[in-house]
Amino acid sequence: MRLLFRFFLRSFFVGDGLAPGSDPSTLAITAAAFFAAPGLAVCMVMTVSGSKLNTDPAVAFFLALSMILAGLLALVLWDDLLPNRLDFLILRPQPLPWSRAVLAKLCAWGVLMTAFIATVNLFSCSMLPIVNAADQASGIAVLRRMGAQALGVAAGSAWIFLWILALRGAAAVFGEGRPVVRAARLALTAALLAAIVLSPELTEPDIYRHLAGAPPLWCAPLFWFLGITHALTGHASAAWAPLAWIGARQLAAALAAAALFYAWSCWQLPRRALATASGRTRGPWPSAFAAGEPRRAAVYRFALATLARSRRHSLLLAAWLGFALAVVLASLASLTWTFPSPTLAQTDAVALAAPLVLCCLIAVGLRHAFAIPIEIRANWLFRVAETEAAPVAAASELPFTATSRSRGGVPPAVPPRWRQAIFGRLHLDRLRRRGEADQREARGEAPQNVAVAQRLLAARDILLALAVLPPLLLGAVLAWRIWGWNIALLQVLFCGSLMLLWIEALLLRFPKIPFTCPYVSGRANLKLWGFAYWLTFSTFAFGSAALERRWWPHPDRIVAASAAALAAAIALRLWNRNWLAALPGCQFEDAPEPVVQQLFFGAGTDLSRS
Amino acid sequence: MAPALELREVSRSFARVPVVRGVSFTLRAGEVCGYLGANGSGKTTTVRMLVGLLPPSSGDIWFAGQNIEANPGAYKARLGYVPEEAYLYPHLSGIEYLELAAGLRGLAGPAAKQKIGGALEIFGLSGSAESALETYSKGMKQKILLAAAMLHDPDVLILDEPLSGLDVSAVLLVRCIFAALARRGKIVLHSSHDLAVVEKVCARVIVLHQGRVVADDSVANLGALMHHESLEDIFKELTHQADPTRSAEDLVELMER
Repeated sequence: MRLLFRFFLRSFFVGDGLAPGSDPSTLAITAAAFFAAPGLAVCMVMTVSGSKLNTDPAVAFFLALSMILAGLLALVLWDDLLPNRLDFLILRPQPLPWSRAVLAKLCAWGVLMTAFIATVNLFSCSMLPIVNAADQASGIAVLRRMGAQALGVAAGSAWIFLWILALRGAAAVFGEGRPVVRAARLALTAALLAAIVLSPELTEPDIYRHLAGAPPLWCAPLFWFLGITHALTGHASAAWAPLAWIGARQLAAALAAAALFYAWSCWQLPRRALATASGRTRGPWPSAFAAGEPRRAAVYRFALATLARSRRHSLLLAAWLGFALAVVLASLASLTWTFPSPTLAQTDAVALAAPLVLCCLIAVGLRHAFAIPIEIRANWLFRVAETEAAPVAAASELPFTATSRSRGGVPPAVPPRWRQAIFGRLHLDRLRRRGEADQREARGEAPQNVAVAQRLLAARDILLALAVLPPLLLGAVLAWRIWGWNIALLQVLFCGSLMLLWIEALLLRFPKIPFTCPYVSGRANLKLWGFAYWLTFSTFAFGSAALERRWWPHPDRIVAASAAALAAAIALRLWNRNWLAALPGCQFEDAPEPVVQQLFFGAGTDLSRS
Repeated sequence: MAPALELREVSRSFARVPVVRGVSFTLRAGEVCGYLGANGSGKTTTVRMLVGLLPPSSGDIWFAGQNIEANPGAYKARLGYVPEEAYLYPHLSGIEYLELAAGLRGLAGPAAKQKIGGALEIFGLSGSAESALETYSKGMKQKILLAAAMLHDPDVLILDEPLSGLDVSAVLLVRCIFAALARRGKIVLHSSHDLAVVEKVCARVIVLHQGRVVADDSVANLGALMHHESLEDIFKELTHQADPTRSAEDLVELMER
């Protein structure tokens, strides 16, 4: 039992996110330091500066932070919440009762969550009551405050964790692969991530008072558990006691739901674990918009299915979506708080920027997700199906390349002199290879590298379907409702062209099929370029929206700017397409050495890698 | 001229350790050839070089009179491959995987759908075609791999342990498929440990030992040459295998202590 408990506990830290050869305890210590840091930082700043936060908002902030982080942890470790198929297949044949394995898993979760909540709230629960204590407060009163705050955060965090546990159990019972379950999990992750970005706003006394006066539904749970803290400390306001009772009842309900669904799913596990080939897998709905070219359509559908069904990729996308929502909401909120009565132009600019912000961040999230592989050992399929020859450019199929007119090719759109000026050496190389390409055509052989480019262009189709179309439609509908159809049209034109420019820039020189190459962390060098990236993004999104708002009286300027952006996007696309077509093939790096996890039921209990 | 696949003094080393040493043989059209060897003899490395996943350290591979390095795309277009391990994308369903394989080969539309539907039906996978591959048994995955390798009607079929996990009826079916392909002038290289199947299916066997080809002939000729009746005895002698009866006794005794 103890061995199993330790095994399950360690398995939380040994997963996809751990680099081969890394020590799980190092990860645990790093994570603990990371999560304890906000509490320490806030308390240290208050101590050093001698300032005192208003106690109630500060306690509310730390409670919200603890609840959100507990929820996110449960969502990130979603697959480990229940004993899974592998646990069953490995542990069931062992000479120990299955119930003991389930109990060990529950104990491991209990310990992990306790340690996690304690770490997150270590400094806030211990230092905040001391820093904010009145000068004449007794030691007992301070201890009472500490205990009440600890109880409040523990109850709040446990409440959200138990509900997610219940959801996990229900998902296992009623069909894990259902799109509605996946969508609900993603929406929840995005909402929690957005909340984490917005939570510091709670420390603003005005905002706190506004919310506490009449808590809206979405933040009511925060005030139930804040009620527990305040009721236990004997807060002057009598309104907290009823809220505390609601909190206690909600906690009991969450516990009952979690116990019910956990037990139900564990009872059903043998049937699920031993079943083969059950359930139907349907393609995600945007699959219907696949391009006509078979290679491009195949990669497009594969990428969509991966985004929809891979836990790691969908979580990553949810994180970026949550970040995008948080940026939009925070910019709207900060506008209200910074300017008590913002001008119409200020409000309009922020509202106009929303679709661009969503597009930019979802596109970045997708580009990030593309770089992370799924089942790297299965990419042999793409490698053996690279049925294109390397150095022969298919001149007749490419734009901006001269071709044999005698075969009825389409005349090039741009005169050769311009082409040479724009594409320089690349174009000269292509011209040099033209003779070879024409020979291939004469032999009746299919153009080759166009097919490579087609497969690589599938990444662009994904960005168009997921990062451009939905925000553009959302922006158009919002603009139509708020300002009327003429502004909505301008918004579609302006934002659409800027969005196209953004995705072309993101896919510049991206010679990979999404999800098929090993991920080298740190290659993007965020530490070095992070600020520049952020500056570029915010200037692009918010600056463009402000310009659009200013140009409303002059639609011709908006049309001209859109045309310029569109021209730049087309130029980038053609340049990129030429670059891709000149490649020897898609880029596949060598797969890393396989990593084998061992259980070590023998003398040593350490998990090691061989 | 019927295309032939030829290895010329092909070698491959990993970290300066030679795994395949100067392997040469020619596979002719209409031939089903067994590729045998003990674990670590270099079979899978040879197969990976043959399908273009791994470049040889030295030597060349020629197909239809042309070095495959000169135009790997054209060679791969005529190649079907079943890998040793059933590495598939677990989140895709069987039909989605086959559609992906077909799409990557430029197949689409009703023709591709017909091929995929037919393959699923013949392999008995129609009922589970829409289930995720992660729920498939080993044999079902192997059938999907076989179907994916044949979708584009390749001239060369390279199979690394293709029968692993298949049930008896599927093994019989695959044996008949090999024969049918050979009759149509395809080249089939069947890398395997299963000597009984190779003996029945393959007209010719190539035996690899420590990275070198130690035998290349028909089973009958090898038997006559080495005075053995079964491929198992031939294989044991060629690869210097220890007496399995003695080894088994040693192991059981060790465990009894």
